[in-house]
Amino acid sequence: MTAPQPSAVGVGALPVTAPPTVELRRVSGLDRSRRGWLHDATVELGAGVHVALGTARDGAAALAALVCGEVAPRHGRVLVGGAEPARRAGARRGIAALRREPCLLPGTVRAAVRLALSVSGGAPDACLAALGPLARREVRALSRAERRRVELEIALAHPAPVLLLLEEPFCDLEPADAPRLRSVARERARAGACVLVVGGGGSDAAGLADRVLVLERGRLVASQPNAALERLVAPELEVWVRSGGRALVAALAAEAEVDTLTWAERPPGGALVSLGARDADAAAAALARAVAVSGAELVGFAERQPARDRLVAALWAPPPPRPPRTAQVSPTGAPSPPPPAPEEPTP
Amino acid sequence: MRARLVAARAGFGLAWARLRPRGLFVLALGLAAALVVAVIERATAPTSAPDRSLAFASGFVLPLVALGVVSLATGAEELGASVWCLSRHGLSRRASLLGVGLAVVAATALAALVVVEVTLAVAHGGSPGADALTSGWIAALGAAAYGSLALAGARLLRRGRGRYVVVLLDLLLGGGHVWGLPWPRAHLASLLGGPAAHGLSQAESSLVLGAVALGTGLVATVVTRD
Repeated sequence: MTAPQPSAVGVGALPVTAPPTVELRRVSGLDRSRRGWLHDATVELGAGVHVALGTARDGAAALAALVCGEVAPRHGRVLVGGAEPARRAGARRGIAALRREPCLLPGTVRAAVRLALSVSGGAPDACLAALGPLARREVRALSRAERRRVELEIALAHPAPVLLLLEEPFCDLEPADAPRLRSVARERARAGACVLVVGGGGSDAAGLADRVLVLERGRLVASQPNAALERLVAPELEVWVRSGGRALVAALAAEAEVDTLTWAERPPGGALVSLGARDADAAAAALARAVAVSGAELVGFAERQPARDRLVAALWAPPPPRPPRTAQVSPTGAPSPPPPAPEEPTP
Repeated sequence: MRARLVAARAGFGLAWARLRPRGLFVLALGLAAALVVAVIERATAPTSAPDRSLAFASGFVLPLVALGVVSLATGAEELGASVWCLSRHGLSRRASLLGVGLAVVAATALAALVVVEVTLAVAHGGSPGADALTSGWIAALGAAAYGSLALAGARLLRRGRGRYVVVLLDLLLGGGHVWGLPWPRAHLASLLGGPAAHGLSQAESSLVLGAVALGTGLVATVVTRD
């Protein structure tokens, strides 16, 4: 008799073709700072870029801590490349990680980089060159953002990671470095590594992920291919109109680029218009044409990203409904009649 | 094997780097406490001042110095977490902790040697006294035992707060109590001229101290996940 297999939430949505690089089997655990639990998570991640959306309280920090072997799960098993990173040094050797709270060897940055890359077999000189003047400084004199920068360069210098874990990678990152990080992540994924991005916003996920995991209050509530997310994170443009609001809305409604359009009058004569399009550039171009046609006077406009709650609500895969309570079955297979109601007590 | 050696060396370096900035402060605090007592003892009863000063230094100052050294060397973290900045790159936790343990034992022994020698010199009124060398190695052995014990304690409770518990247990149970055999207090006192601990000879007490110094830290290291 075989034990029932645990059901993986949403895993069926995207079949893992290669042997999974990272496996979580009914894992429950907590990060070291006890910011949030991860409850009973089961998922298999193969080569590709996977983005886990959620805050630390939703279990994102716990997921990162468990996967990189910082803490052992309270229940279940975490496997990276077939071994448990919390128990096997060899499994951790294949993990390159950027953590939210950086942890570097005390001393100089140069020494920290050399030690880390001597284990993984990376090239320290290239890494130190990428760090520039930071390489000559003492670790204790660095700010948190600078420590994360050092940690990121160490992670990216790993020659052949099995798992590249990036926890909130775009936080504290110089804007100029973001495209490089995206391209390196994709390159690693193409080379067969599992790239797991934990935290971050929906637009980051949409731009990077092959697959999106959604964490909500400690539970892995969805695991979807990115196509589902791209549709949801299309930006909205909010436009404040001083006058000519109705004419602007009419002009926007005629634009083929505009997917969604809502508006509300703001007296006297003004309006607040929200329009959604394929991307921000398309929305802006449609708005410019509509303003030229309608002659509306604008006060200003801003791009709005969808709130995380909206993404969770849209991506959440509800658990399968429980089967109804079965009626008692008689030996012949026919359901037995319901038990008779208790008789009314006679006065 | 080479990887484990690298990890042990890195662990030693990590503990030493953590001890370097504030370790001298811990030593200075311990030394100041021992010296104050030695000066008072010298002023009140010069003949018994060396013995009483030594008893205070070994009974109170050395455990607290060992506690301070372990707190610094482990970054006031649980034992396994204290070497995370090494083990995250794939270095063995056990081997790294072995290096940390060696650094702790060396640092506590060195600190004890300094505290005891200076205390004896003050209690004797300037000269180190005939028993300085013997007292020095006994104190170093005792402090190493305390350091190892506190390191093992750091395996327990959140953020390694078990290190406080073991030093407290030594204070409560380590005298002539029936449960006092594995704790260093009575053995250290016996070696420094006090009553025999649990009927053991001084040679046996020194063996117990040696076993505690080597064993407890080693056991705590071995039971840590790699």
